[in-house]
Formats: sequence, structure tokens, C-alpha cells
Amino acid sequence: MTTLRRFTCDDLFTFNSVNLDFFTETYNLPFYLQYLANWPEYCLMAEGAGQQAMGYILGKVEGEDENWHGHVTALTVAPDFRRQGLARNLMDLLESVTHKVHNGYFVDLFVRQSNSNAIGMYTKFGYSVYRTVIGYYSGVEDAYDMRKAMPRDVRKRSLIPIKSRIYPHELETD
Amino acid sequence: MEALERRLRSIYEAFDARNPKAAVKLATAALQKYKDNQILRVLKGLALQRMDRVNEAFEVCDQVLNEAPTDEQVLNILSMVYKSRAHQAKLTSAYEAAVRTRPNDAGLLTVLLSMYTRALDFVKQQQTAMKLHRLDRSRGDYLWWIVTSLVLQARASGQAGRSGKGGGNGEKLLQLAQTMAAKQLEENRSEEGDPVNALLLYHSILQERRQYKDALEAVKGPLGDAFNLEGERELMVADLMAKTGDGKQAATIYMHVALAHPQNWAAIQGFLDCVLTAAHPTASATPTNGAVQICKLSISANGSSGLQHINGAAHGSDADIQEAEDFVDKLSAAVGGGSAAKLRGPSLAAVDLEARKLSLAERRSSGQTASSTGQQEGKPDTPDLAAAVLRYIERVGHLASCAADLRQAAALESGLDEKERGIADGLVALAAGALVAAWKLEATPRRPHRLLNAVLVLEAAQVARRVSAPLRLAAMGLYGLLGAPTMALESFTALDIKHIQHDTLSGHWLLPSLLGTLRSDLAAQLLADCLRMFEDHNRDAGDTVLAAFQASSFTKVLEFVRFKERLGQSHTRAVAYCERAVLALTSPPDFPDSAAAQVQDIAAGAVAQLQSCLPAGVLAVGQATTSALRFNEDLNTRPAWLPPDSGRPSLALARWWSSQPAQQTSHGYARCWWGRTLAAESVSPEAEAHRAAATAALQRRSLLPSLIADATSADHAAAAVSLQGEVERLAQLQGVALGELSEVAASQQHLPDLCELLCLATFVAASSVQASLAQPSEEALAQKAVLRLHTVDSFVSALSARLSGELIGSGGPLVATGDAVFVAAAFANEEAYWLALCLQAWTTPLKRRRKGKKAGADAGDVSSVAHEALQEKLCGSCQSLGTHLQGLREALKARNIGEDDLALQVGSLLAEKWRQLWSWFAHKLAYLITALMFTILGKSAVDATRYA
Repeated sequence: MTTLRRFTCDDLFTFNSVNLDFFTETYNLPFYLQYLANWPEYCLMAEGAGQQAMGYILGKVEGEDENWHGHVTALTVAPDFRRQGLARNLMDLLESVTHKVHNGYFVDLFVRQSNSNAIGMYTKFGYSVYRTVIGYYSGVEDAYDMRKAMPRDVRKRSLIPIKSRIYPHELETD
Repeated sequence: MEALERRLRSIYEAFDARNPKAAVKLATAALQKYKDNQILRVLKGLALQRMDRVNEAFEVCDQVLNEAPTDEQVLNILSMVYKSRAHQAKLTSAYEAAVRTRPNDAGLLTVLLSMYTRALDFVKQQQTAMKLHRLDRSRGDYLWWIVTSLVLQARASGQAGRSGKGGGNGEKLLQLAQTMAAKQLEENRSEEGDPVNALLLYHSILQERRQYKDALEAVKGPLGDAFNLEGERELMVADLMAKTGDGKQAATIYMHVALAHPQNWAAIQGFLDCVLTAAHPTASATPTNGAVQICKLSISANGSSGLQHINGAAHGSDADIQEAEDFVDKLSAAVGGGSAAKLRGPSLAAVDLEARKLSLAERRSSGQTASSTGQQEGKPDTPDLAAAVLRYIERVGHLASCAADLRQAAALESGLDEKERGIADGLVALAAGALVAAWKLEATPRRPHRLLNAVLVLEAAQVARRVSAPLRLAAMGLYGLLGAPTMALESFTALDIKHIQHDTLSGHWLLPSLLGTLRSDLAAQLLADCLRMFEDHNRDAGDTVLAAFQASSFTKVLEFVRFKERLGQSHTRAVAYCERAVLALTSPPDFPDSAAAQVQDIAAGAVAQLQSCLPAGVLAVGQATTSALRFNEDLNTRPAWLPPDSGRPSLALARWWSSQPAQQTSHGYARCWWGRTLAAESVSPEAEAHRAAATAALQRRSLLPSLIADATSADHAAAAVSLQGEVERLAQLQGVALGELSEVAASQQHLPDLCELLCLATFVAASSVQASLAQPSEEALAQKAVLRLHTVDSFVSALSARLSGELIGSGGPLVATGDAVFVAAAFANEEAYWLALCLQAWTTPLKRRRKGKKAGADAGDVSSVAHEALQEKLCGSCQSLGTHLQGLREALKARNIGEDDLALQVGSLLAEKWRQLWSWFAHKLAYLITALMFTILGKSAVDATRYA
């Protein structure tokens, strides 16, 4: 009942069932188009019966040397389609792209500290907190930078947590 | 002494005869002789109290109290005087003093014990019971009293410890209680009262101290014979066994009880708890650090508390699941057929089992169950809670308890975040829809009570589901329909609709509500936000295409180009440009006397702008134009009762109201043509009709600036030519043959359509008047103009009469309901305004000409009879419009006076907001009407009729 396919511009017209959800941010058009132009392989849509948008993931690959990694920019599943393992499918695909297509060392993502459901979910997917970014969300809320090592990072060096908290401008990439 | 006895007897007799006055008199007399006698004094006090001379009564009795009486009779009488709680402490001290004098008086001690018990003084209660016990060791009940007091003290100590107020000796107290209780039970001293009670008390102490083995022995021993309820003893034994680590044995006992009594839910749960370690979401976790939670002690615990079994090994292996499944099968077999088949236990056990399996599977996948490693492969079967629930419904769905059973057993929403969607959230939207349907069935559909109920249902549900988009959208729709634009806007803002959603949502969800209620300020803001998105992309699109090229994302290059075109052809975008133009046209003129000239300038500017902004094909004449537009609106966000509107946004609310005939309820969402992805662009006939109607409406709207510019133009000849073509096109787009305009209007039932026909009639008249003004000598032209103005007048008259009638006629709460108020707003803001502008523009040259004639200049100028008639007609039309506007204003005022039970319907807070909105709306409408009258009649005329 689910088709996983590449995200297209036209999905912006039909993704309201997903984006009207409280947790999902609607970004401006250049944001989406920038991702679609540069990392189309990282932008995936889960479509249900009747071309219904169920959820999607947007991501990118970035960094240098051992910091070369996949990044999850947005992962969201419409309320009606939660608890069906859809988020895991989308994450698996993104990790697979990071590993097989780009040979990255790890995958990382930012999550609101208050979003315990999401933190729990990412933990279940094998992610761990690498560091805290102060005021990442509009200067109001801190973010956890969570990471999962890819096979290339044999000794899992990318996961060794950093104790000190950093500010958004100190991020290597954003 | 005998004499005193006699006197006392007579006083008692007076009391018996309910004659306190006599008792006071007798006591006072007796006290003459026996001055300090305590009994006489307290009896006098009691009698005074009965006469309501309370202060005197206490004065007398307080004196006696201060003397620390020890006589039981005196104390008894005092306790009658001091029976209110406020005086208990005083009385208790009196008894304490008495006991100090006579420490072995069992009677005094018994009274004191009851006082301490009543005062919930557990320590003194215990001490006094101990004294009584020592006086008569043969009675066991005082010992149980002591045990209970100790437990209560331990509990209080635990509570004090938790709130940081000392405490902490709870464990010692419990230990003492346990020892005493054990000794009592050993000596079998529980013969008084229900022996099970004593046993249960002992049991709960042991449970609290985790001394499960001792508890088990007590229950298994001869004392346990006292248990008399079905399976009570076995369940307690099994529970204790599980807690001592003997889960296997416990499971056997649970199974035994369950098979004997298949409806015994505790036994079924007990078995499943043993086999599948408390995978159940409702099971509460037991602390594992050994701390005794005395404050949680329940002295009425019966042993089957549902707590997790902590000492058992980790369960939940495939073998365990198999065992549980076998158990459920056996349960079903044990029930058999016939009336026993109605027993819910076995079927519900199947649901419970699936819920546990599901939870276990989730724990496994999250790596929380250590024992499950390597067991994922080859599981007997995957949990299927839904199938079990369905079987349960098939079996006992006819019972009222079915839903409650399932809710409890399957714990369907345990741990659900309030921001997540609940299983039954859809029911709220259905309930709101049902209320809208119920409203339609009511005899007086314009009374909005059920619609207000629907709003309340949605608001109430959002207390628990703060961020549910379907509920917010439904509320937004209803607020719009009920004339509460700012409340609709609140929902819109809360949903954080922005960027691309301005194309897919804003236009059809919010714009009609803002325009329909004359909130031009808010509408202008929304249109600006909306158009900024389109304009920004129009500017940035090239960059994005370049970026795609540079990243070698060639398929995206094609996609981006198509995307730019799609946004450029957006219907919402075109509507936004047109509505922005209309907002400019309707913005209040600097000088009402010269409004026509001012609007003429604005209109000319709008024409140029629309020509450059609207997609090719929208403005062009005679072209198939539906394909010129893309309908990106996401219509499947709309509920069944809120179909998409195909016309101009400012009349969308009115059209909803006028298309709601009583008795006709909307079909379900699944059958709505707009209830699917990309519905607006689908090939269904309804969608095609929607697109055709929406395109025609947009084109009519796009013509408006040219029509106004030409109708008010001073270059009458050129304007007349332009108008000719424009009017024909307008009529064609409206589906009306020009010659049949009057007939069409006469048969028109819907107010919004009548309103739009007036617009057509106005410009039809404009075409003739401009032609006549261009050639004043042509009598035929003047006659035609008069005739067409007459048609306009009759339209205004018919529309105003209906609007006034319906505004006055509609009672009910002061919210904007029915089509009349919205059509009145559209009429005052647009149709009447266009007409007023025309009349102002046309009467100005006539006035000029008249002045010129009076001055004798240009004597050769033609002034035919017909032209005089046109002059007269124009003045008459101004007067007529003025009169009708006045009538409308009166009707609006009358609408304000009426039954107002809004607060009863929606609560005072919401009602207050609504009242303010209505007041604003009505005020704005009245203001617009006054401004119109200035425009057509001039300030002096308006002042004269005191309209200002």
C-alpha cells in the first residue's frame, strides 16, 4: 500500500495531509527546490492509495574527510499513517544512500530536546546523542545532534560524544 | 444525698418533658443549696444550651471543665454540650484529665479511644487501645485496633517523608504491626467480626514489606480457610507465588481458577502476567530498589493488584507465547456453547493476548527485551490485535460493554501524546458533520444553534487534541460560515499555513471568510503574503533551474520549469491578483463627492496590472480558457459539509448558505468529488464543472476594472464602444442573454446570483448611458438608457426588499447567518458602489450641461425631451438607490435587536468575541451604506435626511 519514490515539486501541492501536522515545518520554496536540485536521491516520498502523501524524508550529504556524512533535514509521517514503520523505511533508505551512493562515515540529524517521541524513535533506529546545539531552534530551544555510524566508520569514531555544548554558528555545516 | 437525688430526678424529668426552661429553674434553685455541684452545673449548662442561650451554657460548663471533672456522668453531659467539632479538643482534654485521675477506668478510656479515632490521632489511638487491652487481655479486638493504628501511623510517616516533613520510621512501625498481627493470628484471636478482614490486614502488611513467603504461609495455612469468595484464596496464593519467583506454579493455579471460572478476569490476567511478563501497557512498574512505599499501602488490598511480578525470570519467549495461546484456546473450549458462549472472558483474553504480543514485539524491536535476542526469526505468528478486536466485536458487539471492554483490554491509546492523532479523533469531525446535517433537518435552518454546537464540539475536542489539523480546519470552516473571520484566522495561524500552502489552502479556506465579512485589512494582508510567494518564485525560478543544471539533476531541470509554469498559471494566483485589484477599487475614496474620478484612475491602473499578471487566455476574448489555469487547490482538506466554491470569494459564504436547502444532507466524505488527491484537476464531471465555473467567475472578476473605468469615463464615445464588447462578454460568462436579463432576474431564487445580476445590469445600463451621453441628440439612445436604468432600479428594489426582509426576519443569536447578511455586505461593498460611482459620474456632466444651459451659453446645444427624461431618470435612480439603502440600514439595525441567547449556545467567552465581531461587521456595513449615500446624494442631502 506504500510506494516509496523520489520527491518531486508536484508533491508540494499535495503534501498538506503531512504538513498540516503540528510537528512538520513548511519551508519556503527555495528550500525544497535546493534539496531537489542538489540531492534528489536524498528526497523521498511515501505515497499511499490514491496518490495520498503519507510521509517524506529530505536530506543531503555534506562535510569533508571523516566528516563526510548524510544529514536528515526533515523526516515526517502524516498522523494517519504513524506506527506502521514508515519512518524506519525512509530512514533505512537515507542510510542506504549515504552508505552505498556516497560512502559517508555517518548520518546525523537534529531534534528538539522536547521531542521525546522523536528522540526515542531515533534511539531505536540506532542513533545516539553526539552533542547539544544551544538555541538551534529559533534561539528558543536546544537541539540534540544525533548520529549513527555507517560501515565506513569502522571504529565508530564519529559517535564519540562531545560533552561541551556548542552554538549554531560553531557547526561545521548547517 | 437523697434530697439531691430528688432534685436531679426532677431536672431530668424537665428534660424529658422537653422543658429546658423548667430544668434551668430547677437547677438554679438546687444550686442555691449545692453550690459547687458539678452535675447540677452541667445540667444547667445543657438546659441553657437547649434554650439557645449558648454563651451562658459554655460559661457554666467551661468552669466545670477547668475543675478537671472525673465523674463519668459529668463528662457525659459535658460531651453533649461540647458535641460540635470545634469543642472536641476541649472535651478531649477533659477526658484526658479524668483518665489521669482514674487510669484504669475502662469506660473513660473507651470514650477517649473513640475521641482519638474520630480525630484521626493514630498514635494516641494506639496508646489508648493498648491501655484498654492491658485492662482486659481476653479481648482481641483492641489488639487489631492497635495493629491498624500502627499501619495508619506507618502510612502517615511515609507521606510525611515524601513531603519532606520528617517521618521515616514507617518500616519499624510496620514491623511492629506485623509481629502483633502474626501473634494474634497464631492465637486465633480474630473470632470477632470477619476473620478474612484480619487476614487481609496482615496480608497487606506483608505485601508492603515484601515478605511474600510469610504471607503465602498465612494464606495457605488454616487461617486461609476463612476466604469464602470464588477463587479468592487461590488467586492470592498464585499472586504471592509469582512474587516469590515461582511463576510456573502461580500460572498453574491461575489457569486452574480461570478454567473453572472462565469469566474470572483476574485469573486470566494473572496467568498472562506470569507467562508474558507484564508486557501489558496498563501494568504499573514496581520499584526495584527495595524502598517501601508506605504511602501507597492499601489496607484493603486483596492480593490481585495487577502489579508487575518482579521476581520472575524474563518471559515472553516464543514458547511462552505458545503457552499463552494454548491457554486462551483452552479457555474458549472450557466455555462451550449455549448461554455460556456469552461469557466475555475468553474472547477478551484473546484481545489481551494480542495486545501483549504486540507490545512484546515492540519491546523486542527496540532491544528492550534481553531474552528475545535471536528469537525474531521463525516466530509462531505476528500479533494481530485488529483481528482479535474484530472477532470480539463479532461475538459480543451486541453488548453495551463491548467498547468499554476493548478500551480496557487493548489499552488502545496508552501513552498517546496529546499532539498525536487518537484512534477516535475522526469521530469528532464526524460528530461536527452530523450536527451540520442535523441543523439542515431542522425546521428553521437559519437558526444556527446546531452549527454553534458543532463549533463547541470541535473546540472541546481540541482541549485534548491541541494540534489536530482536521479539527482546526473544520472549526475554521464553521467560523467562516458563521461570520467570525478573526476566529477563522486564529485557526489558520495556528495551523501555520504559509509559503506553497498559500496556493493550495489559503485561497479557498480563508479568503472567502475575510472578504465575505468585509475584513479588507486582513484580506489585503493575506493576498500580499500569497502574491509574495508567487512573485518570489517567479523571480527565483531561474536560479533554481540553474542550480539543477549545475548539479546535473537534469530531470529536475524539466521539473522546475514545469513547476514555474504551474505556479504561473495558478488559479489561486489569478484570483489573488483580481481580488487585490477589487480591494483597491473599493478602498474608501478621499472625497466621496469625487469618488468616481478617483476610482476611475485606480481602475485604469488595475487594468494594466491584470493584463501583465494574469495568465494569457484569462483576459482574452473568445478563447477556450479553462486550460489557461492550473487548479492547485488541495480540496481534499475540505469536509463533506463544506464543498469548494466556484465563484467569486466575497460571495462564497453567501452561496454556501443559499445552497443549503432544508432536508438535504450532504453525502459522506468518501462520496465527495473533492475528497481525493488532486481532486481540483481530476477528470470527474463535477471537477470539470467546478473548473469551468471558477474560470468564468475569475474572468468576470478580471473584467471589472475595465468595466468600471469605461463606465465612469468622461470620454463617453470611446467608453460606450468598449463597454459594448465588455458587457456582451460579461453576459456570456454569466450565462445570460442580454435581452432576457429581466426575466432571468425575476426567476432568480438565490440572493448571491441576484446580486451578481445587478452587476451585469449596471454595466448594461452603463453601456447605454455612455452611448447616450456621447450622442445627446439621439433620442433612441436616451430612451434605451432610461429603460435600462429602470431595469437597474427594479433590480435594486427587488434585491433590497429581499435583503431587508430576510435581515429583519432572521432571529436567533447574533452571529452572521443566512445568505442575506453576506449578500448585503457584498452589495454595499461592490454592486451598490459600482452603481453609485456610475450615477455620480453620469450626473456630473448633466449638471454641468444644465448649468451651461442656464447661463445661456451654447444655446444651440440639443436638449431633447428624451434627454431630459434621462436626466430625470438618473436623479430618480439616485433617489431610489438612496431610499433602498436607507431601508437596508434600518433592517440591519433591526437585526441587532432580537433574541440573543448566544452565550447559552457557546459560552460567555466565545459569545463575547462573537458579539464584538457581529458588532464590527454590522457597523462596517452601516458605514459603507452611509458612504454610498454620500456618493450618490451628496453631503447636504444625506445630512437633510439625518443619515450621517
